[in-house]
Amino acid sequence: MMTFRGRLQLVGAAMALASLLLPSSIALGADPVGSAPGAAPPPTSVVLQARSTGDGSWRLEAQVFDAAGEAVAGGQVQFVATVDFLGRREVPIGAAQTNVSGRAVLDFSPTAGGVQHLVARAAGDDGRIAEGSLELDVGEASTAVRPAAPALPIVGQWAAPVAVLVVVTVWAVLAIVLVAGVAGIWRGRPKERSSPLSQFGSPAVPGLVSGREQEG
Amino acid sequence: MQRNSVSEQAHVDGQAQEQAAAERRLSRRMLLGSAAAIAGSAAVAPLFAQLQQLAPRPAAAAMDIAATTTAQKRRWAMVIDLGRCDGCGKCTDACQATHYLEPDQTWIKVYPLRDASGNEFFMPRPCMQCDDPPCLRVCPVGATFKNADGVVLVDQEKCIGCRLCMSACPYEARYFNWIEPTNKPPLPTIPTPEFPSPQRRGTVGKCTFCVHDTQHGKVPACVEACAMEAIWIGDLDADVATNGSQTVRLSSFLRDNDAVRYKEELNTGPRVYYILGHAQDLDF
Amino acid sequence: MAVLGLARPAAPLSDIEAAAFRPMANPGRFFWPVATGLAVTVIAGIAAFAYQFAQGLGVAGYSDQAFYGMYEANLVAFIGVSYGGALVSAVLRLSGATWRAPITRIAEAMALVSLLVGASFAIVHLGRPDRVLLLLTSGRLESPIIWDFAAITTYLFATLVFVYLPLIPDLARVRDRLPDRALRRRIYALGAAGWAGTPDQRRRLERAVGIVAVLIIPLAVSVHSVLGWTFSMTTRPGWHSTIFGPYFVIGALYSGVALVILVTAGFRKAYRLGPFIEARHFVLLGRIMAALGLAYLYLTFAELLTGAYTHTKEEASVLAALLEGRFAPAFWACILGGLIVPIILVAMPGRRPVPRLVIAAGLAVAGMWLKRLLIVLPSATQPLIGDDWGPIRVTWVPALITLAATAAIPLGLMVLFRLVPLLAIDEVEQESGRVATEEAT
Repeated sequence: MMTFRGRLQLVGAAMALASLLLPSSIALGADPVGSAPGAAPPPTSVVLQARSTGDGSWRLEAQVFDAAGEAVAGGQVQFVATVDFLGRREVPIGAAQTNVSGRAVLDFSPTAGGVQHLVARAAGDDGRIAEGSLELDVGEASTAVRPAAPALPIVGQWAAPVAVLVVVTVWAVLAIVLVAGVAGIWRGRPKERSSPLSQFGSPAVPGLVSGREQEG
Repeated sequence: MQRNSVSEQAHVDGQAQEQAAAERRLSRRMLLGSAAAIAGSAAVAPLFAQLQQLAPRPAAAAMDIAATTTAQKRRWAMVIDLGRCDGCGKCTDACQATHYLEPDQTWIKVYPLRDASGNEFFMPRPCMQCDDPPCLRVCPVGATFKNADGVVLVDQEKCIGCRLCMSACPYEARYFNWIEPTNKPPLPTIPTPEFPSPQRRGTVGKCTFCVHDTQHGKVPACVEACAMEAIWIGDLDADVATNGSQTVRLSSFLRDNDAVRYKEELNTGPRVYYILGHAQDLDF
Repeated sequence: MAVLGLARPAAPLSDIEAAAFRPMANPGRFFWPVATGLAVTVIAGIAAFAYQFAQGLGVAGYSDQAFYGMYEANLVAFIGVSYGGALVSAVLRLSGATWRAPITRIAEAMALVSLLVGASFAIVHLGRPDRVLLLLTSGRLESPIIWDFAAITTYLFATLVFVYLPLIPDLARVRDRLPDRALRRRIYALGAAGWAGTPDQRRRLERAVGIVAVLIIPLAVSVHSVLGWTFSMTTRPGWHSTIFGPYFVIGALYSGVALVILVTAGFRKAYRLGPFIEARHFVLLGRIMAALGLAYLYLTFAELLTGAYTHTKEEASVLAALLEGRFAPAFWACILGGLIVPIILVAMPGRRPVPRLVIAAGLAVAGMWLKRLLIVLPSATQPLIGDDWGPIRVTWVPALITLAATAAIPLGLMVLFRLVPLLAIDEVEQESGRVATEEAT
């Protein structure tokens, strides 16, 4: 039933080769227009990195910078995974706030395997959004919901061959009994033609047919 | 052996049917995940091109898959939020319109029920696409089968109409074509298990999780039609679910909302989860 | 019109032979009207099936909330009544009950004919009977319907063998009464396989029949067990029961013996077999029937007891419908009229048991047919979600087909006994110990 798992891994492997653990950052065009004095400068770029923390978990770190290249502290960063699931969709993974050095950290336990397309998004007060993305190959992740185990595997294995064997044997026995029985009777017949009738009294007169049995 | 042998079946010819059925049986394992895409791929080519940005595709020939939008295998599941469902029945209407069903064939059926407080609530019941489907187990000719994505489908070219599957399904999710269907697609279509329209008289049909749509990146008809956005379609492997507008991580969505499955004790492994509203239970 | 012209015998026919050959040579003036009436009914049933094949099962009153009905009940009932043959011919033979000698041929033939008629309902109830060969080419061993198919075909083969082998000596007798060079004689000679009654041949025949008799009993048990399991391999309340295998077998035996009584009484009357089939045969059969009826009553009680006592949600709805609700009148009519009254009728003392026993047997057969409906319909129409019970619609199509099936059994027997002797002559001879000249009747 899982015939396409191999195919899926082919795709995952191809993608993993291209982007294995390489953080990539996208710098959106920076607008040098100054913000209101005293407010936090709007984030203009986000760098997203991931570190494995062992047994399938990862620590995502989003570093948020403003136009001047300074770290943005106290900013809200949303982490999402973009998936191709009946269209391009985003699954929220979590959110974190940047610390004084502009770093927002989120612990990420992937529940799906393969390459995850992660995006960290910081929104500024002026409504502009800065994004950093990351292709993270998490390898085989245990799926959160497991399928049920098949019932009674040993019985299931043996039931069919035994049943077929029984039915075939019964048919064979019936056929052998029929054929052997009839053949035996045929072979046991007396050799002379007329003698089979001697058991029943006089033989029927050849050619003489009466249409009806006589009722006394 | 390509799936386009299905097109030969359109000619109602006993010989071709038998032979095509035999051929499909042999090649089914290889083709389930991509099968009907061949028929519809031309129509969705633009969409396909759009979504191809995601991954470099290995040579299609090596994978023996035709132009599917995603080569990824899925483990389809559905979540239905009973707290949101208002019983409008638009899911049923959309399903019947999409699949050209007879009025009695409610592949997704909305049951009006009473909760513990005596208030009315509604329960939409699609096919549960069980992991261990009783309907598949009892089918004498293998007309009911499970594709690679876990969707239970019916091959109406094979079904002999014994209705044992209908008696075995604990969810009453199967519907029979007792007469020649009156509702047929306007243009001649070749029925396939993934999209059995027009249906065959004397065979059984049921909810397919709209595989003919999901194979091409569209959400099922009921998910789309639900005005309360109460029906979610998800993938247990990719751990994602969407109701058309919102998207969630499926496992945490189920956990956070205490989702349950219907008749869990029967061990069928249903793939439809229900989020219960206040005072609601599925204890019937 | 002579079906079989017998040569003027140089040796007179014994009275046993005369009786056995009577349907073949002189069936009486009622034969043709009755046979024609039955044949018309059968043909009407076939026409109804053809109509259903063209229009779909909807014309038979089915719907999604009532997906099983009369055809499925008929499948069980008509195969069930065939069990009388297995009981009389096999079980009684193995237990040495030689009194069965004059009825064994009738019982075996009835088993064969009713098995064929019953098995045909397996095809009639399908939505796509034209695809029935898929059972062979792409059958799945996991499916109870494949079990049905295997069991019924194997049992049919065994029944054919079990009818044919004891027929060989009788075919030989017919052969010997036919003139040489007649085509009919050659056909009967082929069937008789050179039988001359030599000790060696008798020995071989006895052994072969003995083996098949032993084999046919577990086969018979298997057939109705898998028919019951076709229902109980689902989780439907009322069907999901552990008792269905034995339950169906006992029910089949009960209705089978009842039909043996009916058929034997009919042919005894029609062909004046009174000297050979006596009242004591009916009394003995009646006792067997009563014992099986008591067993069936017990199993019915046992089957309902657990659900009624524990009153779980799953079982409560179906039980209530059966015992107190929409099916209650039919259920209690079955229990009373189909089981209790026949048992009482058998137990009653009286000087003329045959009419009493025939009534009892008729009630038993009818009651058991209704009981099969009551096994199928409640669980099939019960709503698994919500409260809407399915509608029970009986249209003319299943009614006519059922009537045709009922007519096909006597018709098949009447035709069969025009071709083969009605009595197992050797066995009756042995039993009665006489070979005398035919008496005037």
